[in-house]
Amino acid sequence: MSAARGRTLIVDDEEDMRILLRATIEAANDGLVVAGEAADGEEGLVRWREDRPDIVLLDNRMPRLSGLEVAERILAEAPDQTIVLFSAYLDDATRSTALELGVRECLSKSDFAKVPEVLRRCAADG
Amino acid sequence: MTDTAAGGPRLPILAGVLAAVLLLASIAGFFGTRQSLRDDDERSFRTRADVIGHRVDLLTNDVLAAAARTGDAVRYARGTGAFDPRTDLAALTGPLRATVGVAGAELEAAYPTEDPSDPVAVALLAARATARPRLSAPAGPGTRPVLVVPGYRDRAAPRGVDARLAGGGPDLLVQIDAGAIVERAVTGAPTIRVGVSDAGTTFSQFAGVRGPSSPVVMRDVEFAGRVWTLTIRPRSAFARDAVLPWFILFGGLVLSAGAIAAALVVRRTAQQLTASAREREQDLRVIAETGPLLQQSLELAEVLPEFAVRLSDAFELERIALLVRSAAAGNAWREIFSVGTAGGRRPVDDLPVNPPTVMPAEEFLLPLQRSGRGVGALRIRSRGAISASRMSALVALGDLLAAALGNIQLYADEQETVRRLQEVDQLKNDFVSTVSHELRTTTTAIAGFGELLEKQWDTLPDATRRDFLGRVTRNAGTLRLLVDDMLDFSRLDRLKLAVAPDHVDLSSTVAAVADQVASLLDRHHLQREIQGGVDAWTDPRAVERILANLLSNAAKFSPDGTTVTLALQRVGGRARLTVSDQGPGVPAADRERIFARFFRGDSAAARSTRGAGVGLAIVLDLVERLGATIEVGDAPGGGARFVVDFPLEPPAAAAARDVSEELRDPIP
Repeated sequence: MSAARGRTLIVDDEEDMRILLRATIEAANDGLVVAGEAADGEEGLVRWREDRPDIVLLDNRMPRLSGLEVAERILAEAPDQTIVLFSAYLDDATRSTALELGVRECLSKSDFAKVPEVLRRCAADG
Repeated sequence: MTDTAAGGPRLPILAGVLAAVLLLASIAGFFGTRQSLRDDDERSFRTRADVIGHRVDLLTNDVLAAAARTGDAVRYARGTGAFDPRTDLAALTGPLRATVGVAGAELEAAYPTEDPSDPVAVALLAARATARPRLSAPAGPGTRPVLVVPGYRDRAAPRGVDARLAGGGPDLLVQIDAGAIVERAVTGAPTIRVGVSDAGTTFSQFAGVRGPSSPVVMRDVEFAGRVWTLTIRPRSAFARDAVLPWFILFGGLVLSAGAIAAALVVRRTAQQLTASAREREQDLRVIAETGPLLQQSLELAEVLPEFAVRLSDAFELERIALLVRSAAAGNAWREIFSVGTAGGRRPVDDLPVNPPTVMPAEEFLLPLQRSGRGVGALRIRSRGAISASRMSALVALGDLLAAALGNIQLYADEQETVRRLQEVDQLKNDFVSTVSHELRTTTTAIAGFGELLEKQWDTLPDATRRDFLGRVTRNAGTLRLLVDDMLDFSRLDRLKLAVAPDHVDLSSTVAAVADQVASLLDRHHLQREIQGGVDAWTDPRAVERILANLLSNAAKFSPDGTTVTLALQRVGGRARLTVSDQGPGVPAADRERIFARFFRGDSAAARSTRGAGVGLAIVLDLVERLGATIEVGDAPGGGARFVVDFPLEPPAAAAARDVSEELRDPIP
């Protein structure tokens, strides 16, 4: 498991969430590295093009561009990009749309504790 | 309808025939009656004329018989010697009025008995030869005939002609007035007046008898050597003054004129009936065709033009316009559609409404009603006059349109209801999603940071630990507000959001609440402008909820680091609480809707912020229960500005104060 494959970009409009995710990922310290943070979808796209992270940890509900819209654009440019949708409210419609787009995993915010595990699995499958 | 149309012309023809028959009958009656009366007159006249004729026939014999009687008398008198012929003969002949002479005494010598040129001598010889009286022919114009009576010498009257011839004596010669004799002969009847002329012609008149207008020549009568022509004429012409024929003619004329007049009236009525039946039929067809047309579509724009054009064609309208009451324009009439030539700018309220009939080019209003509720009106100007029956057809069409408009309105209302239900449905979905998101985000943050602190308390630097704890606290605050909102909201739904207003020191309450909710504003600068000693009639708990919602909204919708201003002051008879921020403000279009449940603006700021969309609904409910008011507007710097005005006293006290002020300051 190489650290190079666990580089994660956090895209979330909630500062609390970004800080919490960063702290959690850094605490797990299992080859997982935070490549960067973005506070909204637009910024997320810019950072993704700059950083080319292994994994994009993407909130859905954000101003201007939603997580699904960001995922669609990223996958249009790089179909192999690993994306994990990390959302507070995951209904069936959102989940199936995301999987159709090519999002690797959908994770509810209530399953916050599973974040390191999911990220590790994605890095391993890479 | 067809019966009337066919029966119409038959009656006038019958009446015309009747009139003609009456006219002919009266003319025939006139001439017939006149002829009949004339015939009667003629018959009567002829009868009388015949009587006169017979009398004339008897004339000569009468005269001669009288003369014979006179001769006998003369002879008898001569025998006795007591006879004076001058007086006695005149008495005997009576009306003969004769000039009497006795032959042999006065006339004998004068008459040469042998002269054949003297008519008297001829008559004398003839009388002596026959021993009978004889009239002489007149000697010439203007002379009178002479009656010759043979005389006898013996006293005893001779028996037989031979004895008379043997006893011839002096003869009696009597000059007679022949006209008088004829006159006497024909004037037997009292109704006849006879005039005799010297020319030998007798004229007569019938009193009271009608006859031919020209005299009738009856016959010639020879008497005393002359020919007398008897001419008769009626007192008046035939039936000249008879009234009956004229009465019949006039009566017939009157009757036939009546028949013709009746026929004309009937014919005219029949024509009117036919025309009105035709109109009726056309109107019914228009109504029958318009009904389905109006039901074809529920779109006003599709139905109206066709309807208006059909109405214009059928009723020859110059202009037709649909008016509706416009709530926006103070309930004034507004024209939403029209067909035809413009003109006629009379105000709508001046137009006659539903007139029974319409004059040419007159403009009128046809109200459209559905279930007693006005749905609009048709403003119509007609080219020609509109009769009462056509008006009723127009009214029927108006009712059809009103029904269609009602249906269209119902359909639109239903569409609107569906749209609203969909909107509400969407709002609820959004609400569930928002609340889930809010709850998850805050609980995740609290749990996540708590877990990190718990597991890595020793390894984390102090500053980080402090930061994490601050985040836990802030998220817990947000969570509390959210839960409060949810609880209030559920009570709001059940109308159980109780308030207990009282006299409250609003200045202290507001200051306390500002301290409590300060944690929500830790990234903003809260500026307090709280005037001291402002009392109000309100509920401190409700004020806390109102203020917490307004302040957290201000914090959510304005950028970090900007100023949120909280102000309290007395304005007039109210306590005014103002919360303003430096965010994007509330768009004018959203100012009503922001107080609706679940409403969250469409702006980027609204989408990026947290909240369930029920805060302002709760605020509005509390404000109304407290008798306060709330308004939203623009802050001077451009952000949102919420103004809540609280009453200073309970409503009853305010009312009492109003009354006392009125008493103090009565209306002049």
